[in-house]
Amino acid sequence: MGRNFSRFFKRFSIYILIAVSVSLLAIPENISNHIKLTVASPLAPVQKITSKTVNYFRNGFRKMALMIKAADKEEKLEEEVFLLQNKLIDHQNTINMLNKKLKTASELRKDIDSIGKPSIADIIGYDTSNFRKSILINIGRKQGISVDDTVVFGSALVGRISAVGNSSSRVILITDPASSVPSRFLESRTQGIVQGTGNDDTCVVKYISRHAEIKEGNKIISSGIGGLFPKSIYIGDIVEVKDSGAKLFKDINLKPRIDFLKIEYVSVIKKSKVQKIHN
Amino acid sequence: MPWIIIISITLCITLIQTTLVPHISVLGTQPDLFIVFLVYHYLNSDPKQTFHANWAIGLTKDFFSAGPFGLITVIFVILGYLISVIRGNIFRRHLITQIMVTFIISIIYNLIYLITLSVLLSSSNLLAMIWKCPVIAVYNSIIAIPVFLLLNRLYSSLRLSSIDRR
Repeated sequence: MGRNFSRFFKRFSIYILIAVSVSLLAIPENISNHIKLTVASPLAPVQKITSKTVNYFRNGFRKMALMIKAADKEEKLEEEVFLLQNKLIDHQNTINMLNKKLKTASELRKDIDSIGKPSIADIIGYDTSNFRKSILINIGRKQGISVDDTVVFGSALVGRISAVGNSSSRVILITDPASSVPSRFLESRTQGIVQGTGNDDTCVVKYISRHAEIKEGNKIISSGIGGLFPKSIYIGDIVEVKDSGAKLFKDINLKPRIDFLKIEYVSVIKKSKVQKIHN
Repeated sequence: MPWIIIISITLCITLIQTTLVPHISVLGTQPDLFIVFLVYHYLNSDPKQTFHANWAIGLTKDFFSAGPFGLITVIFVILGYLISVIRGNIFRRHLITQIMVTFIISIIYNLIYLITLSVLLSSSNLLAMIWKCPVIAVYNSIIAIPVFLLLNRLYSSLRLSSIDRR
């Protein structure tokens, strides 16, 4: 009797767990994101320490390798510096001419700066899946972060906040398959959408007409359309343009400006600031 | 096996997977320690306890991924069932068998995950990544060797390997 009951209970618990697993899929995304970050947050301090240790050793090894290369490059660089110093004098004239335009631009910059500086956050963890590209950062609701805030590194686009916990947040990178960024070519001003592919070093640019003149090396910036991302943030460079006859749009591959595995911190531009900049 | 051991190993794996593993990626792929542990655990532990542990491992992986919540848990449950089906018919104590099972399970997991994700996200870009599935599987199989040897040592030092000889 007791054994039968135990067997029944074990089988019953298995069915319950299967039902729970399937029902988890039906939880709305904002609630599931909140659950995920709440459960993951106790591990955040340990993740931060581990990340810092890993980065410390990685940087140490990289610096050692760079030191060896640097000695060879030094002589060449000295020659280049001599030539560049001469060229600087030529460029001084051009700089004077552009001074007036720069004054106008700097006034606009002052307006943006007066809104406030972005929050700096350390990267404390990466996604466990091979096909999703997201990172965990160590600031959250307590620091005023909210969903859809823009994340940048040195004025280049990293992604946007997808979930916010009390003291940690998840950032969906621009390389994630669920990411779409309204964008514009810097040179031709043609608009398109930058979508992630799940690869660390490739995105695709969609909806670019086959008649548009796009070349490898062209730069892409955010267009600001839709209001989710601020305008004019550098996204990356075009590395491949395919133009197959039957298609309406070009197949364009983009290399993101940032190597997401090499950065250790990011800046978060709060949504309210972005809206003010747009206004 | 005591739950405290499973939870400790899962937490260690989570920590390594989210901090260290992304830095050792090859061809844009990284090994999946959760899959490696799932296979090892299924092949070496009491079959009555594995289902619950397997569910917990899947759920932990879900917590630290941006994907749809519960998807990995469901796939892990399916994979666990698959391993339990073949478990009795293979020489599961041998390292080569364990590595082969890791390879096959990795391919199946990544294929199911990739296809489900591309349907859920309506993203055709994802299917272009199908070539990654065998690469990840090979990488998992290579990583599985030291991980299995380490877990063997851990299990035997904790006298857990004697649990399942049936």
